[in-house]
Amino acid sequence: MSAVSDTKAEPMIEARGIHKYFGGSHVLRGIDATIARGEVAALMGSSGSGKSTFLRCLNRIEEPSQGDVLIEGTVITDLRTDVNRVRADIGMVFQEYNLFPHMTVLENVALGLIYVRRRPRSEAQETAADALKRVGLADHVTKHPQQLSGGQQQRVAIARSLAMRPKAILFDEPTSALDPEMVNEVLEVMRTLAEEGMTMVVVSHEIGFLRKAADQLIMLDAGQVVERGPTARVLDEPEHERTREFLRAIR
Amino acid sequence: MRQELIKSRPIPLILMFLVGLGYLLAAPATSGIGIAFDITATVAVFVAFLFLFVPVQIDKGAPLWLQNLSALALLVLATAAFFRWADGDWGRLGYLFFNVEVMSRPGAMARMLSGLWIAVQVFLFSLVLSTLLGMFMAVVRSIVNDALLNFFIDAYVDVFRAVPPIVLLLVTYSALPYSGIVLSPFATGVVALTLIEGAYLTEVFRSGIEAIHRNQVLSARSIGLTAWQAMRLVVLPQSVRIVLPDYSNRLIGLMKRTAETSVIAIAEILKVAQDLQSQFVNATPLVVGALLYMVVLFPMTRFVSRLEKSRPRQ
Ligand SMILES: Nc1ncnc2c1ncn2[C@@H]1O[C@H](COP(=O)(O)OP(=O)(O)O)[C@@H](O)[C@H]1O
Ligand SMILES: [Mg+2]
Repeated sequence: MSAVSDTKAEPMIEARGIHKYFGGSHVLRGIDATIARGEVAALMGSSGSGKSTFLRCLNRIEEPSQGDVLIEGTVITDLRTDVNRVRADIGMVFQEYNLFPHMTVLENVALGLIYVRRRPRSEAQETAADALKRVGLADHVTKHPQQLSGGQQQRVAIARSLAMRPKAILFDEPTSALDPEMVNEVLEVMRTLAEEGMTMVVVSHEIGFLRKAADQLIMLDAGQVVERGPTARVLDEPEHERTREFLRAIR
Repeated sequence: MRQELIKSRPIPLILMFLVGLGYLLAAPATSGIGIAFDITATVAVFVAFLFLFVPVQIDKGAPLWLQNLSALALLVLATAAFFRWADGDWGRLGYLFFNVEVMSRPGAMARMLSGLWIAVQVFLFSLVLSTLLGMFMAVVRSIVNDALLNFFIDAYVDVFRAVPPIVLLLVTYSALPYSGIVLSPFATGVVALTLIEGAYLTEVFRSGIEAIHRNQVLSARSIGLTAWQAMRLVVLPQSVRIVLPDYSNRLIGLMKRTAETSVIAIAEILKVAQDLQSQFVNATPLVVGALLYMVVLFPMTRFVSRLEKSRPRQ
């Protein structure tokens, strides 16, 4: 077996025994997860179960207290890792969009290309414009985020991640802050990404979307995985009582 | 719409009317400058009387030109009344405080203007240095965020905000020679003002940095920017907008505080004015000095008021 096919076989993201303490509170209690290249994994669980914290450990926006994260087989949770490099390769989309209000939409998307990828400004802006076209916002490049609707802002945030040509994108409840009529335009973009083979980890409770787009569903409760499996199986035949309760509650 | 056009009686207009009327009812003058005052008072009363009955939109108040005009008339009337009823030695007052002859003596105005230039230099040097210092402290405090370092920065801020500038100036000026450090009065003044202003500006910038939501930093870091890049490209540009009004107010205070450097013999406006005062045995240089400060500070305060009106809401 050659080295190349070896890396191909590696999962894109692997989490091994992740623990996280905030002061005295034990928020993540040993979480394992394996997400293959091109796979879409969904994280579900009630508020406070540790979904955001776990997601943030995957690109070390939050430092795990214990355990390892591997990206394409490389451990990124040790001291020698260049975290900025890792983060440039793993996109992240937040519930509150978190665009930069003092920049135009195009500048928002080009920022990482210019200062992290070190691309010349003109080339970065071209790439950024392409990314914005992919999320259907080619006409809004010169606007400021505040001039856009929530759904449009969230699509800019997705374009900002996309422009970096990431290996994977992490989504933390990307539609929870949106008015209902804007949820679909964002989910639509995410579904296209999934079909194009983007590796994604998505915290979401949009059952319809997950059913179509997610390959694997991981159910968290109090910082632990209570159930995991193919999306349809977990949704239709949940094995664990906590999962059943949760699914009843959100339906 | 119609109902909004109710009668508005701007206070300056009413005061103008009352003061003018009072002035005219008291015995009118018969000669000299008094006649000019009487004419002004008559016109003022007439104008005020007319405009008191002009309906204006309540939320807009009187038009700006009318407000300015009535304020000016009020000023003139108040001055006239003061001269009429205060039992002053006007000749002596004019000689001592508004003496054109004294100021036209050779070198007098030139020295005053060089004082202005030096004051502006003290201001600019302290401004640039304290801005750098305050920005540096605030940024380091936010990024490094180390308990010991924070303690030192906070101690610096607390100490230098608690010392009156004039005391620090005198202490530094008299203590430095014994420490073997040789600094000109100018440099000493700039250093002392910078230390004090830097402490305030550290607080100003710190509050600006903290006003930017943590999510902005998270989002910047998640695309791979370093902590310094996130600060420079994402946080500071937003913070600066927020703190601009506070910052500009400090700036005005700093310009005024340059006067205190006169105590360590820096030849700025106040020092020159006092020197000329004792040389000529006349206080006119002080009045001219006050005017020079106003020439610099009027535009600055106007500018800051405009900034404050456009302060971004968060
Ligand atoms: N920065 C933090 N400091 C202290 N506690 C935190 C912090 N972030 C999250 N927590 C706590 O960790 C737990 C899990 O939070 P989170 O991961 O945000 O859950 P979820 O995203 O599933 O709602 C919660 O109890 C929350 O209060
Ligand atoms: Mg969350």
